[in-house]
Amino acid sequence: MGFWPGNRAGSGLDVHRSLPVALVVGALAAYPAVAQVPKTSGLTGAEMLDKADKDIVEMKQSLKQVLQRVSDARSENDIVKLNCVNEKLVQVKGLLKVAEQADIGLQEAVARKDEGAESDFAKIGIARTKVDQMRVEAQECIGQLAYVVDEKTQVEVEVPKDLPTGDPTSWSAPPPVMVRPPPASPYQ
Amino acid sequence: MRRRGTVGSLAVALAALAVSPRALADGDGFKIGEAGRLHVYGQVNAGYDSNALFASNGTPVGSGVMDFIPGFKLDVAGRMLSLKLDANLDYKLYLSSQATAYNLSRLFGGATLGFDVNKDGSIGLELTDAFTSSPNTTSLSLDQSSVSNYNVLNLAIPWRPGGGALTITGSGQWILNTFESYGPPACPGGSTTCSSVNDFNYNQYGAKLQGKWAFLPRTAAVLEASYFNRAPSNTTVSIPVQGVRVLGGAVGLVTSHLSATVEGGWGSVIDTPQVTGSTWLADVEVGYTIEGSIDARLGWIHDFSADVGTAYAVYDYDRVYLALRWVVNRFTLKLDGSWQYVKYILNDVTGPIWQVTPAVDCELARWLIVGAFYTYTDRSTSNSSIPAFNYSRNQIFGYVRATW
Repeated sequence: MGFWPGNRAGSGLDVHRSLPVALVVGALAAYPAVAQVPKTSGLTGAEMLDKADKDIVEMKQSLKQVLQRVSDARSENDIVKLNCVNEKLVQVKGLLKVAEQADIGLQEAVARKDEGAESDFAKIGIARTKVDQMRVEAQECIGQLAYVVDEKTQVEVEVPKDLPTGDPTSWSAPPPVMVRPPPASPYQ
Repeated sequence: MRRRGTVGSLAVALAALAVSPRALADGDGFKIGEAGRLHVYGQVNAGYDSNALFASNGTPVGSGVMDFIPGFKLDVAGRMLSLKLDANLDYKLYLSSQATAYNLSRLFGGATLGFDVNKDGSIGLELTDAFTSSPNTTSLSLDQSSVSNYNVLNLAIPWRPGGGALTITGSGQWILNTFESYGPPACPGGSTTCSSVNDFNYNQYGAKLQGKWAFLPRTAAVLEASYFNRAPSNTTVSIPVQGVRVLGGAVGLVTSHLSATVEGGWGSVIDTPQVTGSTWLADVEVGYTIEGSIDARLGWIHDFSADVGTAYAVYDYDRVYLALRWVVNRFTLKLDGSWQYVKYILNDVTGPIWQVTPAVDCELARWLIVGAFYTYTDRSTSNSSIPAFNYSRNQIFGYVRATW
């Protein structure tokens, strides 16, 4: 289970965008008090910085993928899919923002050799996990075209131009050879 | 059956030969009811035939020839029933000063009728009948001049379970071919080897079951089995022959313009004491079509056929054919050619038949077409004693056709 229940297609057309962000920020801010995480990662400060950088790069890649899904949904004029993917996008943005802030805190804590570095490092790791989850859920968003078929549905079949008319599977042999034995044959 | 049974192609061929070697444009016609249209047409051919008859010394005698062909077509295209009727007369006038040739002038004709019931339903009914009276014949064994009255009736019931990708068709066929004497006695001197030509009349009955699965919208796998029974009127001059064929393969479009037919099978004469044997069958064809512009077909057939007579009652053959159509503005250029090598089973007589026909049409108006064609035919056999099996023939004709 994650911090947010997965939002799937059709879960609602009217999404309040500020709610997920508030939940993300609030949950991560309260993380040290509620989450059951190891107290230490066992990594050195440099290793934590390196791992945090990689996680943020991955989260940005996930953001790009979700943005592409949003673009696809817009081009398809599919409001159901767009709402679903937008919801994931908002959450990914919030998580990325939290992770970037935690990364700054991590760098400062490492520089100060403060034990608070572990807390910021854990936030980044959790944010990465949640972003991956949002990316997957965004890919699973389905649109109205997947289940809405009504009188407005049109199916367009593109047929190559200049196709032969008729039924080419009804092959018939060419006309037989015709002969005309001439009259008055001298054949005995 | 398709040549093997081909009612459609044979009927079309016979009708085409009775009229002209080309399909022509139509005028507006007359509206008949809600879905019918009647067209009337007239055509005049004028040309030269190098083999109007044989002189007493065996030399071919040429003659000018004119054809006067009035006719009409009726098309009714309903949702449940469609009907096509095409009928014409052909008065063939020989212009030779020789009375023998001039007396070949007479009236011929032909008609085709087709019913198609419930063609979009799961079970349909197709009924076609084609009749042709002509001096030309599909019988390669007949060595006498004759008027061939050829009628073929075909009844087919296609069953399309589940939307039409699969079609199973059962069909039956009845051919009645009668012959009349034409021109001077074919066997001067009353040779005992030469029978009265109407002794070669025959009936032929056939049945076929075909399954066709369109695994792509315009490409299908085909499997069919057919049976025929030729029953001559006079069994002393012609042998009754029965046979079966089993054929399977694929046919249809390979690309949007390229089509192919590849079929193979086996055929055999059965229950015919005088003749035994079987042969493999093949239909291979490649076609290239650009709708409204180019249509080209190149193919090869290996098959067998029953025919009139005793020693010439059954033959197998290889046939290579070519058909080109090229539309350039108002002109349509055509080229038809075939080479058929015939081998008679009972007497091993063999021989090729060549035929080539270049032609051109010019559409002066939608209802008026002029054109010309030339046909060269060459037939030879290993039995050179039969003039009807050894000859060359040249025909050149111009024509004008009006359709309203």
